[in-house]
Amino acid sequence: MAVRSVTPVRPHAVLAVRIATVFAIWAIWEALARSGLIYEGVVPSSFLVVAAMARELASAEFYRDVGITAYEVVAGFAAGTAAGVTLGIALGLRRFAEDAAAPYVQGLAATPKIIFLPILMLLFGVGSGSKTAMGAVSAFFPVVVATAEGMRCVNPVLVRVARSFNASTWQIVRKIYLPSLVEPAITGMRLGLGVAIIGVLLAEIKFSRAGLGHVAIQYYNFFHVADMYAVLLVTFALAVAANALMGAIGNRLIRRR
Amino acid sequence: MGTRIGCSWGPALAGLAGVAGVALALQAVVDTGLVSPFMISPPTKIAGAFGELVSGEGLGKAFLLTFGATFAASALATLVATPAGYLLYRCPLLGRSYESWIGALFSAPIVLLYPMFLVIFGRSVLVGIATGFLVGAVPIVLKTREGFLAAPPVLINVARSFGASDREVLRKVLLPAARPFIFTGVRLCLIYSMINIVGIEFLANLGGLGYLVGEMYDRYEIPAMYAATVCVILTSALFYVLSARVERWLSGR
Amino acid sequence: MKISRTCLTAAIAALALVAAGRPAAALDKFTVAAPQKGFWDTAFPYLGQEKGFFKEQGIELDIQWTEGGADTQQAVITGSIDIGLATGLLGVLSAYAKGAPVMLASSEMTGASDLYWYVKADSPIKSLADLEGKTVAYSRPGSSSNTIAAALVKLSGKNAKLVSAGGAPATLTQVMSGQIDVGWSAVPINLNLVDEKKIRVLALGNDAPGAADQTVRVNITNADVYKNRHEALKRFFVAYQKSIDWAYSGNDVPEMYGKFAGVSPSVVEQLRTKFTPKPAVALNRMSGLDVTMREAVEAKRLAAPLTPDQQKGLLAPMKDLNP
Repeated sequence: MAVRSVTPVRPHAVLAVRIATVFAIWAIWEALARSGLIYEGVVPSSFLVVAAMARELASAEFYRDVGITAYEVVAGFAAGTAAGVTLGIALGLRRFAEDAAAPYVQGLAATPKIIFLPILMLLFGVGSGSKTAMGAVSAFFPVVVATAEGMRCVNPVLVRVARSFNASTWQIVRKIYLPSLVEPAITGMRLGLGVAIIGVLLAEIKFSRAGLGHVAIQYYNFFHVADMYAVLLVTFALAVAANALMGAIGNRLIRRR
Repeated sequence: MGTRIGCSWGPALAGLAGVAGVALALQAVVDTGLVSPFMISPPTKIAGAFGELVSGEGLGKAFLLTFGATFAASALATLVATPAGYLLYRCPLLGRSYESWIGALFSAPIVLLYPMFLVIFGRSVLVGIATGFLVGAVPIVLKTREGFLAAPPVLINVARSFGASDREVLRKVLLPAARPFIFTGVRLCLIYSMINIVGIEFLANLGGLGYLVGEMYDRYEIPAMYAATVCVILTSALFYVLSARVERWLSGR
Repeated sequence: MKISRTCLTAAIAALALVAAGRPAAALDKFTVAAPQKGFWDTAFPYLGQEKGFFKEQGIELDIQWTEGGADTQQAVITGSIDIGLATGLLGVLSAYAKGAPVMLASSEMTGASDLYWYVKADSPIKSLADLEGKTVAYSRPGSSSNTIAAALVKLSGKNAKLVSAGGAPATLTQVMSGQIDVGWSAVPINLNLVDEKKIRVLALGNDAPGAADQTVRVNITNADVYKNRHEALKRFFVAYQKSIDWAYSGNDVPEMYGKFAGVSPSVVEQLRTKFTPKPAVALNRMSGLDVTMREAVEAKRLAAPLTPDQQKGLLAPMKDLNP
């Protein structure tokens, strides 16, 4: 079913709507903050949030926490991606294996990963190890699902031709499967990065002594709400930037393939 | 590894054998002392803990709480997000303006706002429902708009040429065309709502299946903790399968 | 042989240089989980470290602040932390009975004179009799506040719900925003709000029957740490005891503690005499264990009270490390 092309819309009009929307949201927020309708401090003035953000960005400790979270995300994402691609290829090579494993992988993929945190804390302790493991577990499933799907889309004629030239399994993987998997694997990795970030942040909220998630929940515990919103906004922005960077790298790799 | 639900017997048996093999291996490494039972509980003890979860820890009640919250959040999201998606379709300017923002919301960690919902709604199931609603509404809005956009223009033009009103075009052309997309959005809503609701139950000790896992860990009931985790996995898998079947049935596929 | 003055001077100078250049013996490092930063009894290691008592014993502490109870306990059991301070005896009994690698290194608090439960100033709850259908906070499962809160609810005879609210600041947030009806705290934290009439004290920890003579908090360590670093652990407790002795007598303590906890130095005298008298923080005192075991069975933490042999095994490390 072809998607109907959207009625042409002028870019200036889109920009105007977006600016108006941002302004309206800000106005509603400020009105709520000053109205006293919601429990004091839950909706602080945006100026307080901006001031809190400036304080955070000027604080050396903030960057230490960013570094800790970034390390946990990157290390976890790398481990999860490596495992996901490897297993995805292994399952894709044998249709029977994929059919056998599919229900369990899909079932686990649909499970909220945060509930694995107690198990990870038992296995890796309560420090960065369990947070990194959380990132790895979160990233693993979108990558393995996307990679296995990608394996199924590889043209079987190419594989048969390679086999007819006595290519080994490793050669077939390297020269046929891997190049074909770039696009689906990157799609999986983009999803995986997003959920890895969320998984690490939630793990830091539950039990940690450093990292952006820990900072946010500590501000909440002491009811420094403006500071909490500031940290969350910066975290959101970093997550969006990381996703955008992943997308740009992915698009580049796909174009170069 | 798409959405294939039914498996032939061979792979199904092989899968079960694989799970049994993993369980036996875990039992062996714990029994031989290679791994401490305080890190990995032997599967025999985990199996034994299910009974205690049901009879002594309110597993049934926890299950109903989580399920109920998920359905409530999804129902609310469907009621609000479907008309919102239609609005974004009817007004191309709004659609173009907000599509990328709504798409960005899909990967935003909205669940981090749960402390504020605790303050606004109190320590109640409403916290999970509110978060589940916000998270679940996003895919419905996106998929609904996508579905309406996918309606073949020729059918719309034919309907209009027969003098059909906007309402008739919506009812007889647009909705049937968009139906599979809308149900895909509702299915994604169910899954993501549940994931976030269980996560909040775990983080904020609010009751439900997520709370049960955390409670067993805190009380150092390790076999029961593993058993509760398995319950969550089985519930999520059941949800996934049921929602796929309902989607296929409603879509007529 | 006559040694010239020059040679002697040179030799002494050389010896001095060698002595100065020789690296100091490496300190034994312990990671310590302490709950509720700012509380009086959990401040002893921090203050003692600042005063240099631990360095005297060749020990360096890396103190990490937690929300108490299960958080501290699990960190020790998994080996992430060497020593867990001020964790609830209730939780430790449960883990110990299940065979977890946790050792009771010393007692930490006997009696609950430092704990109190409060409501918002305008709350309709005036006494424990008004607790029907209300939520009552404690910090984390297995903590002393968990034990005492359960005892207070039982004392009220009402059907109230116990809620794990986390540390004292988080609990205050939840009480003031209406999420929880009755909050918990420990002196001197939040006492200023009582003076400002923003909160009202509903019950004291010692109001719970038997609580005044019950050891509610203990210090724990991992079994591997006890076995492999036994000698250093003994030195740790020597320094810890010295920190306690100084906290109850040192003239510079009020200012140091006031700065650390963000409270007025004048509160220290009340802490020393009224709220947390020195006998309450004795390190080798185990009192009311029968009561605690009974409460643990009621809370489903223990299937049955510990046998005499199990009790002996539980208390042996405490007696060993704190003779």
